Amino acid sequence: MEMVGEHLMTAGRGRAAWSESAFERVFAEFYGRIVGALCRMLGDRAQAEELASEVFLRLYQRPHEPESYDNIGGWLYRTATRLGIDSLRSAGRRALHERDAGTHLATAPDTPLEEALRAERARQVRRTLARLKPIQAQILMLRSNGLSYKELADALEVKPASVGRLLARSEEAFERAWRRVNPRQ
Amino acid sequence: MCIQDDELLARLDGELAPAEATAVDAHLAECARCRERSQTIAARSAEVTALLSELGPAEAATDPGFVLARLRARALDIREEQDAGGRRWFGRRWAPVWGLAAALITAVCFYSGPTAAMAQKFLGLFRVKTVVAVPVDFRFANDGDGKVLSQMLSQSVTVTKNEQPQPAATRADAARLAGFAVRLPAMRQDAPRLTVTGEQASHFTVDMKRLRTMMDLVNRPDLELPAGLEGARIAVDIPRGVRAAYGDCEKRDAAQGCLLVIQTPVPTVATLPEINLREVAELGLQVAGMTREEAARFSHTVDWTSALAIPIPVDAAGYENVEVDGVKGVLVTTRARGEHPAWYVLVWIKDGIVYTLGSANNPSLAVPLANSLG
Repeated sequence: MEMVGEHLMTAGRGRAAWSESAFERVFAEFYGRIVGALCRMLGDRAQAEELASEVFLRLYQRPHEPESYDNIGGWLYRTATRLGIDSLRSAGRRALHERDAGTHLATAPDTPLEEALRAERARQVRRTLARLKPIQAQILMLRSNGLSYKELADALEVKPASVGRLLARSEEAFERAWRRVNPRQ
Repeated sequence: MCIQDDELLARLDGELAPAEATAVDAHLAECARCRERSQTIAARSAEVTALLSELGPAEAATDPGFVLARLRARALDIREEQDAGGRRWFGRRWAPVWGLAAALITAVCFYSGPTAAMAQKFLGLFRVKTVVAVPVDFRFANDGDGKVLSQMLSQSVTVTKNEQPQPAATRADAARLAGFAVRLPAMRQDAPRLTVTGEQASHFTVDMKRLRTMMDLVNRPDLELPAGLEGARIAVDIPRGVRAAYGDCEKRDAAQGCLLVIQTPVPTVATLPEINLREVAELGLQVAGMTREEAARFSHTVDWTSALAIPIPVDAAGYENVEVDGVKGVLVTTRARGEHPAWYVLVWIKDGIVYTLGSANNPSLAVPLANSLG
């Protein structure tokens, strides 16, 4: 059927669109990593995959400039972590109306205690991230995904020289926010 | 002079050049205040790192091939919306509906008799020999639900092979890559641009719940779904083909002399287990706008064991049955819409190859052009 459909498609689009093979290459190289980064950030695989799809869809809709290929990874990480942070923040706003901590534990009676505690702690880490400035949360997440300072600078489009300062401030901010989220610690 | 926090952190992260690192270390050895700050930063950094590592490793992602296929469908969906136009029904947005070949209408096309001898463990395996036009009213999907429907369809289809097209310099190259003799129209003297289209394979597993929802979406909750469909698997394999483009096909108007000739060995369709495809065919025809009686009548005029169905959108195209290349073919003509010119496609099957020939030029040239293939 596609053979017939192909006949009736109009060719030629206004801008440099992605060739299927170029897009496929980028997709193959980065999809798993982007899902991984989002999954850690959100703790929800389905949501991570949904956002990752959104990220690649946005990429697909951008004009394809081969010369900017070097920094596609950076663009993907930046876009993904930004979407992830936005999502964490809106989840945080929803959570304001929920009861705290213990309710989560009670909802998973079958989980071994250790696992439940770990999950609870991960939730608190996410709530902490949601309280930071987006760029602070982004840089912390990206570093914890193993990006070097140079890669962080590329991904976040900041000067390499300012990565250290941004990181130091972000860690301070994280620590303060963590104490507020979790005063018992 | 004391060292800044960022430099201390970079030292801890191993991100300083060796010379800088040595200088920082030398300073730390002498300066108690900086040493203390460095310890504070190290402790904080370790805590933050430890907390973030609580987020755990990522779980394995869904098969990227599947995601990519879905993503393409979505991207094309959006593009099609952005430049809505005449190719609406034939555009790739509707590939899933054309992929009704792979879903409902696949079934429509290929009815398996109990005598069909089957390879491997598949119980249904079909090779089409002729084409038949199936007039369908696609308006059922034109009420805002079309998007959801096409999404549901594309989500049900798992693409297992999606080879990329590759250019071929000569007819011989194209034939070698595609694995069959390439025929070109002698009526055209100019050289075509040849592309070998990739092999495409996908399969579809029937999920009755999903099918039921789809019937609701097309406002036909009344239709009875054939029993025994649940879990049935339909696999479609389209071999490599050759696409020959003459003239300027960018704009596709008659003045540019665009002519497209595409030839592809007939697709292989297999089902597991054997299902009563005639029933499914009639269901598909009813979804496409026929009454139950019309669907039954139509379905009996066709030998589904060997027919490739060409859905003809009744509001956008007309068709006639023609003699071409020594066999029966279907000439589909679409009306001009907006900036998209009227276009014709001639479809026929000869010696196991599906031929399509399309152009914006005079449709009366279609058959002579096709007959000049050699």
